[in-house]
Amino acid sequence: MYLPVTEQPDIMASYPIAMGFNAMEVKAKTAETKTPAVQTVKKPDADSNEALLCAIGEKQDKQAFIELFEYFAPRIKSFLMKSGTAPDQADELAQETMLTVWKKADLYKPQHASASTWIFTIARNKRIDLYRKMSRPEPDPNDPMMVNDDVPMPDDNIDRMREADAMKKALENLPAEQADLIKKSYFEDKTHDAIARETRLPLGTVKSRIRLALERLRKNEEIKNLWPERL
Amino acid sequence: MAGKTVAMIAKQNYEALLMDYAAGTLNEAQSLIVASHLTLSPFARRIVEDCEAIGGSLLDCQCDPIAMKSDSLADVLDRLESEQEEKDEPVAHSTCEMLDSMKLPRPVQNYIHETEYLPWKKVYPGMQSYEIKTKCRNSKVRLLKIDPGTKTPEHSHAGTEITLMIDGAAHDESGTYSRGDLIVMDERITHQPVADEKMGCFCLVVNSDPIRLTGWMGKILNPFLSR
Repeated sequence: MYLPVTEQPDIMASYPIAMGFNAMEVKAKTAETKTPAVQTVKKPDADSNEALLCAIGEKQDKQAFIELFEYFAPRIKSFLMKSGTAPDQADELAQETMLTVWKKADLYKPQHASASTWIFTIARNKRIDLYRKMSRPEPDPNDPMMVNDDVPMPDDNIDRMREADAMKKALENLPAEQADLIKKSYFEDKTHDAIARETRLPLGTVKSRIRLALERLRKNEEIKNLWPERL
Repeated sequence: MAGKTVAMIAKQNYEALLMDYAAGTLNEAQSLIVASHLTLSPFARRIVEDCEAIGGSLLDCQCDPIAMKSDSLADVLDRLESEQEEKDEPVAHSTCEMLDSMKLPRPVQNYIHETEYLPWKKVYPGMQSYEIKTKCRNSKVRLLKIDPGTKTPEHSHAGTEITLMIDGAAHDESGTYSRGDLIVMDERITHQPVADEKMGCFCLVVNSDPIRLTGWMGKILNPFLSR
């Protein structure tokens, strides 16, 4: 169900508090310098996965790639095996995923997603290619029909690494019944309709648990401090 | 059904659908309509980003590492150089005036090959459809053009019915929908949308199973719709 525009929260009103700075200060600074509102982009910590990804994107740093491979490839393999992929095939697909990481690292923007989130989307797409043999349409950022926010999100100031940490904790604290459904959907490649059929839970129960889980994750105190109120 | 209950179910369906898209579990037809909706809704793009962040965290801490084969890293390193050279060229998108004038988001445009006119088919008085072909066998993708004030037949859904409003407006028991709105119905909901009295309505619809009509008209039309 859509939300009419009027029901959407006033993003601008909630974010300065959430981000821990005063809206008036920002206004004053922008007025002083008379430059377009440039926000300082937070640089990832030197030894983080995000920094490794940036090093690959900026200077094809092979050492950084090796470190990233050693951390992520065994996890991607594990992720793929959870959906029933045979070990050898999962190994190959994890290699393919890491090759795509190398190829596309210059498109990675640390202010938009944590390294694990970005790599997850690539592994997910490899899994779709393997099993479905059909395309997964995505929105095109250059589409003239693209509707953008009137008020841009202060994405550059969100600390994606702290966000990822908070998300991990929140996931661990999810009630078992909600966590189960989330894992079924992300790991076992099943739609909620398929999960309902399989578990013999009424569709309404499955979907309301998903909604509760999503709400819990998005409204988690720590995440909320990083994200502007979004729902 | 009370409007409030319908609204609640519709909201559950909406979020579950966006999470399915982020988790990568939707078929091509459903992904096509969600991608089109994401083009028109920055709000929805954020929900999908959040759901992708859930996927990232699951990958990071709930996938216990399983050792790669001993030569995997060496193999990949060997291939890095050649991969660097064969970067994907960005696909040039050919613009089509007809499709642009219909205000269709690019994910839908990519599926339509006619450039001069669309061969619309009449499905019901005041309602015309154009079918979009995908590889999905259990999902049907259609553009629907509905004349102003046309009351569509009341129907329930055996599977899911996802509607993206592209132009004009429509209303049913639970609200009014306009450009960019996505309405996700499942077997729990029966509804009877009416096209706006002035503008009519133009939408993209994905049915994942044949729909069933519930009113008297259903008795007449069901055998045809399920074909």
